[in-house]
Amino acid sequence: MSINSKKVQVISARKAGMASCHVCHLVVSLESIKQNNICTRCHSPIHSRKVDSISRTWALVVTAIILYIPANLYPIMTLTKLGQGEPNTIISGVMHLIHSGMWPLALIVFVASIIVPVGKLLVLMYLLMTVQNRSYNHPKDRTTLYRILELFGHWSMVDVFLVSILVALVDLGFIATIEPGVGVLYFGAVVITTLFASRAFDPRLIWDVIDDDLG
Amino acid sequence: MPNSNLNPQDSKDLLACHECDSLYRLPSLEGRTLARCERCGSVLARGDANSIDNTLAYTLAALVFFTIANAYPILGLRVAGQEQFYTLLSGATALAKFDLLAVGIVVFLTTIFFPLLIMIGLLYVLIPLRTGRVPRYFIPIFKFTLALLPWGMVGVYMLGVLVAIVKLADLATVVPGWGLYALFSLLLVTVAAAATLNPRVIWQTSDILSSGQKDSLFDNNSKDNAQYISKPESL
Ligand SMILES: [Zn+2]
Repeated sequence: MSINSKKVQVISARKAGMASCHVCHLVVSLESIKQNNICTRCHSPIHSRKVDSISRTWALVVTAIILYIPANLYPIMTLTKLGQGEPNTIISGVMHLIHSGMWPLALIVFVASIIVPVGKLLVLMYLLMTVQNRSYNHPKDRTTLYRILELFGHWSMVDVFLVSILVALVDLGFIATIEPGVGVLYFGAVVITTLFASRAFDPRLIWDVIDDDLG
Repeated sequence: MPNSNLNPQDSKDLLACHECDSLYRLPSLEGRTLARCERCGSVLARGDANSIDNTLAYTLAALVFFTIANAYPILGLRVAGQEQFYTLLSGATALAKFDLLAVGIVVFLTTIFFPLLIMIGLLYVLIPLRTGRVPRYFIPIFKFTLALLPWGMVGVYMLGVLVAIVKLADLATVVPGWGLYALFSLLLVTVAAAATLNPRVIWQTSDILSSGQKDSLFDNNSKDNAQYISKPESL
């Protein structure tokens, strides 16, 4: 199989018999650390690739998908105004904001609570499957996708923070109170699980297929 | 194999791309230069001019704003003569009251405890390095600080506060407190500190200091651009 010829010619650290430390990024020759596999500078364990990256990422992705179901079914908070309770799930919260004409707000919550986590899980699954199928296509674009994941993943936490702020602030007895719902627990768990999932994935696996073929 | 000309002894200036594992030889970078990976486009390294000084200054400022943000109410709510205030800490503890202790702990850790540990860790490492000394336990403390970095979520929290203000506007009068301005300032200096933080430079500085070659620290006149050992012709 020919890889398009204008591709940059590089050699991977692994091909050169070296590995870079995950923590301090020192490049060490694998030969020199044969006894203990510990970084000579910061004493962290050195692996050429993240250990069990694919299976760990899959496990975390599946966990996040399962947790996302109760996160959406249970209310994340209940607003009680003048004795009248009104439980809100993530989606009904967004709907409510749209109906009250708060478009920019609806958009922020929609992007942070639905687009980011769902998008993140879909992208991770796509990356996992292309790596497992030893795909040659668009390695640079897939790496960029991964970079975007790492950059925006934690913004989904905004909904969890929002609930904590509203609960602390709106405690006005009969006039209005906001109580958190168990949905926020599941949603927080989804966000944290996806953060660990994207951390578990090793983008260098995308390039290993190409490096292997270069011989 | 091409590793014949790669001497492990001089591997200190080698750098492997984080995202695609391409290997580069990277001498010092000028000013605000950015070295990008030729293959995948990720940032390999940034220029190192004044990185330690800048990070140190922003971190000190962050600690001041952090203290104010925690000491004063972030927001107040005024409705029918009643007033309700909320501080950074009460956001976390309020959840604990409703059997959601786990969520309260996560909020506490990501908005108060981890940001504080990150600031202390950076100051502990950077102040001695700045004065030409490697602090005790530099390696474990700096490693720990780096590992915590992604878990400090001041920026996301600030967005949450802004959303809350708009959301509550139709329910009651929202009164911004001193804590809110401090929180916003904290966000700005945190972003600046993160942007100037250059772990590569910090590791190198500690390497140089502990090997006793202090003079070479200030001998940064080399203007080489990143040269690539990965080009086939150099092998
Ligand atoms: Zn790269």
